[in-house]
Amino acid sequence: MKIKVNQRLLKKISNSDLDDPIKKFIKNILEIESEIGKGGQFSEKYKAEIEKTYLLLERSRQHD
Amino acid sequence: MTKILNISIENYRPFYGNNNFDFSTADDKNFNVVFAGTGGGKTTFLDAISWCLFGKEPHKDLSTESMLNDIAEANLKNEQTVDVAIEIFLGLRQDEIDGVFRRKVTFFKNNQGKVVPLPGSERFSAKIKDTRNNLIDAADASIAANYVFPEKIQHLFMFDGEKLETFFDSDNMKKTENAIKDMTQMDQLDNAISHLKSVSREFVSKKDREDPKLAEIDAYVSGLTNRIEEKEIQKKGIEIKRDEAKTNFDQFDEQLKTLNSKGDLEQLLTEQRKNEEKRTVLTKKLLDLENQKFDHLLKGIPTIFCKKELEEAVKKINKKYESGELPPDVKEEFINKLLQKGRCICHTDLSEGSAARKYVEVYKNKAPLSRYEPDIRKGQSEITHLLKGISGFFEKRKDFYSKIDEKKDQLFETREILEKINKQIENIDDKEFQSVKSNRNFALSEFEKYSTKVGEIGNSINDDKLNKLAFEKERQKIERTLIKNEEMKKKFEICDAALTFLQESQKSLLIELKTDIETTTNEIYKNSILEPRVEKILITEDFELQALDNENENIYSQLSKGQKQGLATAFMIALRKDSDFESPILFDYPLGRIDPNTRSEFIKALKNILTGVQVLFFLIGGTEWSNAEKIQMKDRLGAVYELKKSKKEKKSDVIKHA
Repeated sequence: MKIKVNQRLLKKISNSDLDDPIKKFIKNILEIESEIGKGGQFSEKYKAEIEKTYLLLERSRQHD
Repeated sequence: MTKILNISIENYRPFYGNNNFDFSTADDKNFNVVFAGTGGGKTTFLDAISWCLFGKEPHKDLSTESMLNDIAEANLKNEQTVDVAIEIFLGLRQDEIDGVFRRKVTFFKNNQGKVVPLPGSERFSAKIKDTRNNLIDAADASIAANYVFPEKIQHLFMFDGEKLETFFDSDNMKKTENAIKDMTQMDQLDNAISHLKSVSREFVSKKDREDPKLAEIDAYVSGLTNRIEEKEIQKKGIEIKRDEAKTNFDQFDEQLKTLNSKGDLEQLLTEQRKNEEKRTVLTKKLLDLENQKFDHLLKGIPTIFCKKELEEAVKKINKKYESGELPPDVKEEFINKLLQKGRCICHTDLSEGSAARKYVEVYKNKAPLSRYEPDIRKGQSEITHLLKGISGFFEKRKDFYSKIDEKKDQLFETREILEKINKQIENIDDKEFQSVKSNRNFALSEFEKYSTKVGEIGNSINDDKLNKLAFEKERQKIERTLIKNEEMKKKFEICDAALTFLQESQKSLLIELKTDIETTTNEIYKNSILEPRVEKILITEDFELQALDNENENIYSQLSKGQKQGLATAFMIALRKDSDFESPILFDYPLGRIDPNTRSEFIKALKNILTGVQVLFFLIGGTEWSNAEKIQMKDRLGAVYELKKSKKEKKSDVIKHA
């Protein structure tokens, strides 16, 4: 029961050559936008997503 | 994807009692029709939906007061209430409800027979399906409603045929661009870009911090390490020499004992050793005391200053006493006693009425002691206390100096004894003994010299080690900062990568959408052959929608109202098709302006393009909903409702057609 993030954009994200954690990050912030609306509290949510992405990237770099 | 399963309208305007409308959700029967003649309640039906979802009735200028159905109002007895309520049930299948929106307001008839809405009785509630498929109350019904039917783009899913015909007449570019952006949720993308920029700024400021100069610290620490190592080696070398000197000394000392040619030599040597040891201890103690002397002086400095101040203060006070500005502290008591006695110490008569008494009283009044006495006494006591403290300091200092003097005397005495012993030993006529003694003394001085050096180098090594430790700690701190900075850099890079991607996508998406919507609009418009002269519908780079003829002339202004409505409808449907928007379409007066000659083509185009989306058409019976339209839509028809204005009563009857 909520507006989905633009499918075209999601397709663009999937087809891009960005790292998987960054793809996921972009999808997640778009999800946040669809939930919070224009004046919502975005800062903490964004920072949490950045932290998550950073850890994922670090983990994958360590595996490489 | 969501569909309207049912709409229930209770006592709202022409709808008396509870009226239920079930709509088809089947993909192959996705055209639902509500038709009515003039005043039947077709547009009011749309207002009911809008009021339920957004609390607004776009087609009504009337206040809420007149919302209650006339019959319901007439039937209401004094002191009784009745509800006006609209409910919208959503879901994909009739047997599965995904959400319910309900708005109601209660009306009350007072004892004067006046019907008014109960203040604060309007309630809007929503139930939505949770992850476990249970219907639960939404925390905020308005937010829930806006997820499914965003009020901001209401005009893009609740089409008003009459408004559509003038949609592109004014602000063509702005409306077209906004419609595309709104329908495709580009605002989410705009917000994401703006929010990302704002958050990434925090990392920018941190990432740009200059890296501290670790190399410099490393070089310094490495220099210190080398220096410590060098000093350790040097120290070891000196320790060896010191130990050699000690061994030599011990050997010569032993040898001296065996060379005791005179009877008293052994005793002399013992005395010599004892006094030498005493001299060493005394020298050290004296050195320590001399060093402490300065510490002691430093501690005393504030007191010395204080003493100077106090002495000056005492001098000033004394001066004032002498000049008579301050009376002696016993004066008041003394004068009072004299006056009581009635006689001065010089036997002058001071009895009541005597001339001398008057002088004494005048003198007493000139110096009102009682007023100053407590302060003076307090000041005096503080001064005395401080002076005691100062004299205490000087006493201590005196003790300290006497200790130094004592040690000096003792040292002097020891040196004299030693000198005497040395002379006595020298006088002993024994060449071998003298030679061993000289070697022994040399070995002793060497031992003392090297011991001092070892101590000095040891201290210097300790200083270097402390320095090194401090630098190593600083280095660790810097390393931690560097790691943090690196993390900030990486987080900024994440934001930057996302931002670059979103900004590029924003541009390309808008162009793609514009092109696709233009293509779909052309497809619908041209398939319905609304205006043969129109060769192509173009959306320019500036988002102006143009209707071009075969010479690429924009002939939009020459189109009839019906053609304009058809074009706007084509555009709106194209928007739907090329966006992810999933709500049903509610279409009021869709065919009214369309030329009956081209209407069948238009309906055909709608049927082709409106697949998989639930449509609720609101049509004027006869004009828009005749046998021709019924036949054309037959294969796609879901529910068909007729709203029939009652001739007898103020209400519309709802008739469901098979």
